[in-house]
Amino acid sequence: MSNENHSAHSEGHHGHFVVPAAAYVAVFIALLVLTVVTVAVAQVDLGPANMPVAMLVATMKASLVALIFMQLKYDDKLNGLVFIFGLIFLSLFFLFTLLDVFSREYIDPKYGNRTIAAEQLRAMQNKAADKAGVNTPVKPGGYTADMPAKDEWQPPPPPPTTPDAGLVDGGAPAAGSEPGSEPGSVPGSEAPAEAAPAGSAAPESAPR
Amino acid sequence: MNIGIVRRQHAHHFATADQEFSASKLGMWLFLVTEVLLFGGLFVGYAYGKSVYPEMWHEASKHLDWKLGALNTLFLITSSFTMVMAVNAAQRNKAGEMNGKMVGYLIATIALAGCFLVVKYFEYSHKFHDGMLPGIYYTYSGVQNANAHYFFGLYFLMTGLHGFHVVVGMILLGWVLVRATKGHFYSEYYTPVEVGGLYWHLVDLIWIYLFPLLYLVG
Repeated sequence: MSNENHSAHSEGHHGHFVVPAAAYVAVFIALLVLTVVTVAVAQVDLGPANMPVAMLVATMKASLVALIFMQLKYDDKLNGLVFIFGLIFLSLFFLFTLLDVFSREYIDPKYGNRTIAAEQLRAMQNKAADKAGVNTPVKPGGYTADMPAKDEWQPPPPPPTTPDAGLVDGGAPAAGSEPGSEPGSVPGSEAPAEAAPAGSAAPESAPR
Repeated sequence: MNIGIVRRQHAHHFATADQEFSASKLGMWLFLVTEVLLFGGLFVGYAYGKSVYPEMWHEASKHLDWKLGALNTLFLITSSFTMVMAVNAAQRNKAGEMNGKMVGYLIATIALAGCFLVVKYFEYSHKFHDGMLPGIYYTYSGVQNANAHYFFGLYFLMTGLHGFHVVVGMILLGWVLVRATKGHFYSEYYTPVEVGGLYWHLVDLIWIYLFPLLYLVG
């Protein structure tokens, strides 16, 4: 290619390499043939190979257009470099977006990327516990084992108006409630609620 | 049509006509890279949608007419070919003897772009009529899948942005055509034909990917 480029510069004082029209005709025919190929291949279901095959043919066509019609093959290499750099940055865009899309299920093997929903649930549980006067903050991270699956989860009903109404063992709003007791107003909540240390004064409201 | 040529002196801030030509081309390539990134965002959106809703994607894309897409591919590829032939005629235009050919190829390019838009118009009006519209305007009931508005939203964004580029290309090449009829372009000065052609090929390049992605693979 550097040979061609060299001859391009020696040819005429202007340095414009004139591609013979026959080359353009050949590329034009090749583009038409590849279009027929891509349409024909699409009529056959290749399963997971559908997309790679279509993209391969499209890239062959695009390369012909870029190299011959847009003359990158004969041109100053700087122009090609600029274009390639653009494509590299585009591929970074693709890479990191798709890395995210295809790795979400690996964040939590059971529930997927549910941290926001989990935090909201935890905040509601703590709020309900506060209203009931029970000092049982649900700690962050506890959701991974026991959070209900996406379809089962429902927001808890509003906290009870009287201190007693919502408590499972009828426990008074005293500090000495049994470890493991939880506000009954949160259906399906099996998060490991832990009793607060005896000394702590006002229960923490939903952390963070 | 031999109207001769109008010789041009390169702009004063360039040392030579050659330098002016190279700088113009480099500028065009830089612009084309920004175009690639502009469309790239939509292609990434496509990749995301297809990954997250593969069945919907497949079903919704069946509602595009691949025959019209293939016809438009034919128009654009042919117009790219007539475009390079116009550049080729300009490069060999020593004293105006190739003016006629250059003008003819430019007219053909613009006409083929017009054919592309006519086909696009029929496709769009069909979809408007059936309510295959983006987002909240989607009222079509032929796709048994929620979220099909996502596919059609991307369809309209991608083909709409591309169609806008086709319109801009027609205006750009129309300007090149007018200047060509005045004999402004010859073997030593044809920068507008060349960079206009580069732009036009990029429009073709993007369609080369849009066609299989939207109409064929889905």
